[in-house]
Amino acid sequence: MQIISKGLTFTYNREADFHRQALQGVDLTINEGDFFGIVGETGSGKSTFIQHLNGLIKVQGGSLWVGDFNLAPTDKQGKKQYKKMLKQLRHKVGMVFQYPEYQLFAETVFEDVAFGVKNFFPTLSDEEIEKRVAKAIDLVGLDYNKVKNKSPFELSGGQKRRAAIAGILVSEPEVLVLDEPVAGLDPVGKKRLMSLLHTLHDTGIVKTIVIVSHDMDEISENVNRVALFCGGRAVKVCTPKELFSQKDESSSRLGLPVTAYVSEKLNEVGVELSSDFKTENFIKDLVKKYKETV
Amino acid sequence: MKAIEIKNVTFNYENSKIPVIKDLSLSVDKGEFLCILGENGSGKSTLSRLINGLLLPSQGDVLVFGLNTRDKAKTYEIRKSVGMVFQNPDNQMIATIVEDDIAFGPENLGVPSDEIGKRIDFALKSVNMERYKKVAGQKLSGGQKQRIAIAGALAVMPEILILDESTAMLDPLGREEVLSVIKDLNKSGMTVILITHYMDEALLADKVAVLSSGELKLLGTPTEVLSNPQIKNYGLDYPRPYYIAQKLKENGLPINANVFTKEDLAEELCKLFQKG
Amino acid sequence: MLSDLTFGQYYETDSFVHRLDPRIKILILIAYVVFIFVARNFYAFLALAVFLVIAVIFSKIPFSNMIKSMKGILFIIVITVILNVFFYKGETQTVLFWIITKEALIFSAYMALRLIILVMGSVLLTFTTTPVALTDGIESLLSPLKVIKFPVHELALVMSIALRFIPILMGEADRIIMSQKARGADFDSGNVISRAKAMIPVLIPLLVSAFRRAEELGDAMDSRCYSSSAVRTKYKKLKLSARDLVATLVSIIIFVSVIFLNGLGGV
Repeated sequence: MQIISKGLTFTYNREADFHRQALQGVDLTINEGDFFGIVGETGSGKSTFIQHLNGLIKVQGGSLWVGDFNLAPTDKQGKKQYKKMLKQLRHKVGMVFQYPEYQLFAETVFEDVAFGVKNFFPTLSDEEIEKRVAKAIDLVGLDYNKVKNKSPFELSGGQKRRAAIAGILVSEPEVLVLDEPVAGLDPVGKKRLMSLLHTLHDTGIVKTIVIVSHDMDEISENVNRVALFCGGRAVKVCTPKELFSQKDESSSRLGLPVTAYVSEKLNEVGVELSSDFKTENFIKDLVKKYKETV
Repeated sequence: MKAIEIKNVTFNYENSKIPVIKDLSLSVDKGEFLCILGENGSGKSTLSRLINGLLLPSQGDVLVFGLNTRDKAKTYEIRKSVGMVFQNPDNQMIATIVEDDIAFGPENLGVPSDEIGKRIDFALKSVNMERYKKVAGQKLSGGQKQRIAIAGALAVMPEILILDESTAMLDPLGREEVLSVIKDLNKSGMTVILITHYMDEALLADKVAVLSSGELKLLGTPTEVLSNPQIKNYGLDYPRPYYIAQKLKENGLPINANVFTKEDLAEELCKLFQKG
Repeated sequence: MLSDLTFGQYYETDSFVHRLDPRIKILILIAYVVFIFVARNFYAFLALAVFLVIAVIFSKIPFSNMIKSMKGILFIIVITVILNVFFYKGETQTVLFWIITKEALIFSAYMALRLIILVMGSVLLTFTTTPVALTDGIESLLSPLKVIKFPVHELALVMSIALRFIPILMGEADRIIMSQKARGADFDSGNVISRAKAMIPVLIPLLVSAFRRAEELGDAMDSRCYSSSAVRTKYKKLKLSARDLVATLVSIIIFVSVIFLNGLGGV
């Protein structure tokens, strides 16, 4: 599913006198198959934008297409039809909020993960539900038989987050949107979760992944395209390499990933590196460059 | 006298037999900056609560400037000298308006009202938030809220400041604001204990302790600890610049691979290529 | 969004009314509410309404904000009026539909008027007084109860913490509702029971979060030397000033005049 946003605007509390315009016309296309990054300072509109992607916020102005779903409600469409569309949309676009473990509620991990399937596919048989839940728990790297009857609140911090993500994956979304997925995790937990996302993406279980992040190393390491949000607009949509090579105010405020910073400094002394800013490629490139000069 | 002495402390919660802290000993000098690193669930938050007597050890002793946290009569004295800042900026503010919140500590101590006013001004100045005295805390950014939380602790006039993952929920800008305040406080003599799992924050410290499953695994200077391959067993990882430098060295680049910041890494590489 | 409720939120500005001692404001409001129910005729109401208008003018709060704050309770007023119109038993002849009497209409009109000025009066207090000042005022007014070991300070602290955490928990509820919606939860269809059931996935995480926050807040308070037995001081001592005297005198004049105006005849 391709996501196309054109001139998307949004204002909180439109009618009140303390209203706040969060989106001022977002033009952005996310292609099927992208591992897409969204960056920008707090308050730049990132969160508001991603909440649009599965209809948690109604489109106020501009247009937004997610695959065949037109998210700007048209006059012809009745309320009932719009609701029906939302349900279909939401199972295809999974949304993982910041600290998703805070949404866990059921008595057992099984029940919690099953919540989504039961909501989206009320007619499924119990065996089918169990199959899907087992698959989702397996996907996030938890041991299904060990955790299924545990209370989600007994799990460790990292496990809780995985269980919460399983609760989204269970509805087999084509697009997975994650807001700061590794916030609060330790370095190993971060690595594991990111590699889980790559596995989902590489195997095609989830076709498109969109992550919001403040960590520029994480962005340069993981995504193939990135949008920079600033003042409610996507001011740049490009590759991480392009984003981190340009010198202007909006991108320099973000800070640079280590690789981009070092490349920039080397560039100043006349050493041109051609690789993207992924660490492993960067190392290879440097080694090659060094061997050429010696 | 040591600021903090932790002597063979074991701790387990009442309803559990598994100790969260196991036979741990550690001491902190006055004016020292200690960073405690550890994975999620390593017991680092429990350790911080043992230091100011929010929790009492099941075995062993914790001494703060010679006072034992077990001594109930000294609890107040100990809390006065150990200020603490927690993780979630929203959960530490007691009052709505900044100045009223900072006043909470001194009010509890029975400080006269005009002296409280002075302490508020001093505390706000220490965290560069003078302008926000009369503002509602809810309107501040995450980094600003945490600086107010630090000011709230400072108004009690502690000699030790513990930051329990206080940067974990902040964006990079907020993190930078808080870290720079902590650095300044340490420079002016405050003993600081920073609990975190950001490896780069450990570089600010004089000494780094690594905790894993309740045990003290490593202790040393930041560069000693961060370059120790064992940290990977404890849920941690090399800082990225160090990792890159090591890889480059392995591949035959003659550089000083003992670099931990991107600035140092860039400098090393520039030197190398300019020579060549 | 839930977190954006405006009813009775502090309106930041500097005015005569804002600067009044919260204790005086609370006492005047209490007296005002009493007199709203003492007032028996149009003139008495007029006096009370004029008092409110003067207070609003001196508070520098735009009338539009005062009126907007009524939106939330409009429904209650309408219901009250309708009920009264139909069920008030008058003695004179009916004027409409054979059941509505003249007295009923007049009585309902007064009832509506009472409610409106009552709510506006209360809103003016919360618009012009920070929650902290409000709890300080209540604490101070209740302090004589300390003699009988009533935990006045604790009560005030609980109130101010509750006031501080309401918007935070509302924001949190918003977020949890969104994340459960994203998992296909449906909060607005079905009958009352199924709707109530649908709230469980919101209420439990909210409760868990409230406990987690309470724990951290408790630790933070302990760390800052909180103790219920401590001899504590107050940073901001409430002090009466000439301003408060003026406000009190004006209020007394209005209230006395209400009593006199009542003498002109009842409803």
